[in-house]
Amino acid sequence: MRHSLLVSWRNITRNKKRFFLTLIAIIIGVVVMTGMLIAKETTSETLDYYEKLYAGSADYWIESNNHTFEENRLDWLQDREEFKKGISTLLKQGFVEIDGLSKAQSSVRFSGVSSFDNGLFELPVKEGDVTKEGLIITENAASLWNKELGDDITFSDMGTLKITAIVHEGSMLSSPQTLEEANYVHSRVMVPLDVLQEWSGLDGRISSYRFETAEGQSDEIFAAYQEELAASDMFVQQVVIDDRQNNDLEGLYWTFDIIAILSVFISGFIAFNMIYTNIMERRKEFAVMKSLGYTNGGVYRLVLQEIGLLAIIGTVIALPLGVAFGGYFQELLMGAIATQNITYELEILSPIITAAVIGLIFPFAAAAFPVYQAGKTPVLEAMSNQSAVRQRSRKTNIFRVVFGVVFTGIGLIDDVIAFLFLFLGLVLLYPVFMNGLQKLVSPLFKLLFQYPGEQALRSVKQFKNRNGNTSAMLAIGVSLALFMSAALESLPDGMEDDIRSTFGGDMIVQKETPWQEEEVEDIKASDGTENAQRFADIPSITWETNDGDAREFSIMSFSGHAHEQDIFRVTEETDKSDTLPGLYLGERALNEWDGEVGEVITLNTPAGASDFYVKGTVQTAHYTGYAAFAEDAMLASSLNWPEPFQLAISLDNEANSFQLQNYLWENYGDEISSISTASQNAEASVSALEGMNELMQGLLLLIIALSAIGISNTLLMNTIERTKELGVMRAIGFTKSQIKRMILAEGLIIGLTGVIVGTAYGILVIYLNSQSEMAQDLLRFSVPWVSLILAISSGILFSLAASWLPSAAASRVKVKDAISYD
Amino acid sequence: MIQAENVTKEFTVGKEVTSILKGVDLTIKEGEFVAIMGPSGSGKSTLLQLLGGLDVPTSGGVKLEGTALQKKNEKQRTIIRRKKIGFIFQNYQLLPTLTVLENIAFPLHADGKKVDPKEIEKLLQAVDLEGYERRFPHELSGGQQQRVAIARALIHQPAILLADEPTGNLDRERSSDILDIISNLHQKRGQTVVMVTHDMFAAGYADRILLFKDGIIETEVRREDEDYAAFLTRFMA
Repeated sequence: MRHSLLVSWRNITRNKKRFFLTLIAIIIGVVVMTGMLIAKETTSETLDYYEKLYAGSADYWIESNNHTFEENRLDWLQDREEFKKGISTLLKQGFVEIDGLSKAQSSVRFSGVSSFDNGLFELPVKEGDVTKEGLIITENAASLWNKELGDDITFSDMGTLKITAIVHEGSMLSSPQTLEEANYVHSRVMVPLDVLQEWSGLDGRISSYRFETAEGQSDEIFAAYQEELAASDMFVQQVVIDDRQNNDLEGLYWTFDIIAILSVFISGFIAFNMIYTNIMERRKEFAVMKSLGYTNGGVYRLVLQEIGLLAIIGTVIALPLGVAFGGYFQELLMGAIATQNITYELEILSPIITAAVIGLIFPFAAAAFPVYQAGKTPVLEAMSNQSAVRQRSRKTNIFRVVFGVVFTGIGLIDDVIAFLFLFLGLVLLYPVFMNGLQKLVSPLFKLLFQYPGEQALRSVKQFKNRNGNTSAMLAIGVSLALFMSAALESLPDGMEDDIRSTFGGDMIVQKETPWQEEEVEDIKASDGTENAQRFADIPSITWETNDGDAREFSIMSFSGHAHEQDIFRVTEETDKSDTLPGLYLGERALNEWDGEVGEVITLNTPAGASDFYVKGTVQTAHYTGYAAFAEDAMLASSLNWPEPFQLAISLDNEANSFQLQNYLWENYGDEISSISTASQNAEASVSALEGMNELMQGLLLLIIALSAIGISNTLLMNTIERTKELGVMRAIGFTKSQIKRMILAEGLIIGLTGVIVGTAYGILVIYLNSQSEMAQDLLRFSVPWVSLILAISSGILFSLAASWLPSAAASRVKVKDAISYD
Repeated sequence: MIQAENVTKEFTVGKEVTSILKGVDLTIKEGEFVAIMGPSGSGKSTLLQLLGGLDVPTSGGVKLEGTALQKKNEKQRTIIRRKKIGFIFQNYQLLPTLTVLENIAFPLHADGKKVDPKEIEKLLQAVDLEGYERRFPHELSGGQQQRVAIARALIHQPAILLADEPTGNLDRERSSDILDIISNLHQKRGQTVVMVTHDMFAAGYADRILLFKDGIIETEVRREDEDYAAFLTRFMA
């Protein structure tokens, strides 16, 4: 075994340069893939972790449609057999007394809890003791208020408490990072329930009760609780871990997947080139082995062992580098998408296992065809040095073009999967594009490179499939880079427009108690207010996807006709009517549910478990479409939520926003839960996108760099395969520099074609997405000129740089090799 | 015209140094047709490479029209080659992606010169390849490919034609055709021809035959020498 491995090692390292390039390709592919898998897994696990911390061991919670209820109304629950333990929570608005803070900036949201140490929730401790009753604040609040553990904090018209613990930001407690952010985000702190009840004069009242049962969650018990609370202002919900309303990361995960697949694909292609050339060079050797008694299987085993060795070395080197890259990338990613300091642990185990498996398998996949060829090496033909005539090539080309056209046609359909077919079509049609473009650019090449340029145009045709595939990889990289740039350029505008057009006004104010008619009239009468309208936002409605997974979202109410709303736009609607109450689902919610418009969905609402008829689907910026919308008439009749707590305000002029916010804090501050404006929402979304912009560009640059390694590898293979030809050229008159110019021109043709086709496809993809119903108005058709110039210049520079090594190698070809006898 | 003075050539494989040429002295006059013969490994092809400036001697020197090739760098030697030397190889060594016409014109293009269609036509006539201009090498027989190689070697009207086993892959009939062409062109154009061969029939076309053995010229015979016929007969037998 040791000897056999030693022989394999000698074989794979026979050509050191090629071995090194192939290893680099495998390493980069596995590193990028590992990094992407780590980023995806860690982000997803971190968000889940924070949700789980919030949920703790609780199975259910009970709330009221009237903000608070009497604690003693839960006696029936505590008497039940399965009841294990519970915790009461009171939510209340307040203001911290810190010099220099405005009313809005000093806004605090209290969670008064009945027990700090019962395991029903967990807090990510930074310092102090979270089980000790006292004041718990987050690290952002501590920094903003300049307070430390043990310091006293006074709250206006309430009292003073000592800080007993400081925790990291999380789902349960979080605070703004900056004073600017503090203008529209309150700080959430935790205090003992009895203290808060006393401070707020709400003795014996709580907002919610979270509890754990001996049997966990069960449909039977849940139904029993719902029955118990039917026809009251109280309702029960199962605790569901679902953060989709706050995070829309599916698109991001999809991008990670695409980058990982693309990097492995390009690496696989480079490995294919190397293995194929290696095997072609060793045809004679295989023929001799077969003449000495080796079977096809024996040759397969020999070559597979070499590939295995290569895969193992590449993967073993790549995995630690991938973990390091993943860690660095995760840090950048969190900095870009998180609005708070989030502590996380890298999820490396499953990404490492997946990357190791793929890293070990993909070189074999890349080698499948060459290995098959190696086994089939005809003894006499190979030993007499004849090359097989490729009879199939013309037929293959016709099939390639036909399939290319069909796949491109499919790719024009407005669908995510069809999108992939567009790129498959690109790869298949690439030789056609390459031929056409070569004809176009040939005068330029002849002018720039003279006769070596003319030769290069011919040489590129000599290995047209390999060169075409290499160039196609670059084209895909460039087109994705352009598309991402266009998306990231137009998304902020599209997103801002989307937020503004479906926000429902300029400002939404939520109160702890329902908005009364006279309060609405008062606000309408205030300076700068154009209109104010109440609506409901019923939180934590639980339901199940068609696959049986538990989910949670909000139902928002609207008045008037569905087609005249300013909080959503109807994108699909059924003409059919039903006796069941109807509602509209946001697009993400409909996708997640996996049902169709016109079907019936069961929701657990404050009115209990109820069936609803899905009348249509809507596009909205609220909860990025992960919500449902119901006519306000249904609030009382079907949803047991008679009073609205939200108020949507339209302003005469947006400049009056600050003035109105001050008015609201001054007059309704004690009861306001939150104030959010369309501008602030748009700004927050846009700044998150800007953070992503650089990250994505960096990643795509990596893909283009990997494509450049592919070009280098391909040219090196081309050079190795025509050593004799290059030698003859040198013998009959080409100087070294002419050979160099020829190879550089070849690299430039491959690169330039990749850039031109990539640009054309990039613009096509941008256009298709701007017309896509899925993207709505988020993506507009715009050519990202800066990125386009960058793509063209970097594509050309990368190609030239990538051609340098092969051109130097080609110019060093020994002339004598050409005329030595075989 | 061509002068080799005490030329040696050594190759190092691993730690082993092999001496291929062990002090060759040779003078070839302008317009002479010289055949170099000898067994495999005797150093005849190596000498031809040194005469053509494809390589440089380990010691000694090669002069071409008075220019010491070993003192020129690779680029200068290439330029000398493309202006003054035409090469014919045993395996034709045509460029597979070029047509017959493009293969023939390659040395001129490499030198940045334009192709004179009349000159091409004349050459094609001389090598009997009219009508084959647009064919690719793989569409030609071995003899036809070698004729293309001859045309390519002559297109830039070199003063010297170096041929390394030009008939090595051909049967007697085709060899005879090729040698007739080389001989006719040599006579018409007055070019100096140096041909490496192991075939006495081919060597019979030369004015002078050098017999190589173990890296040195063991013996030589001229057409005008009395024992020339006997020499040929002895080898042919």
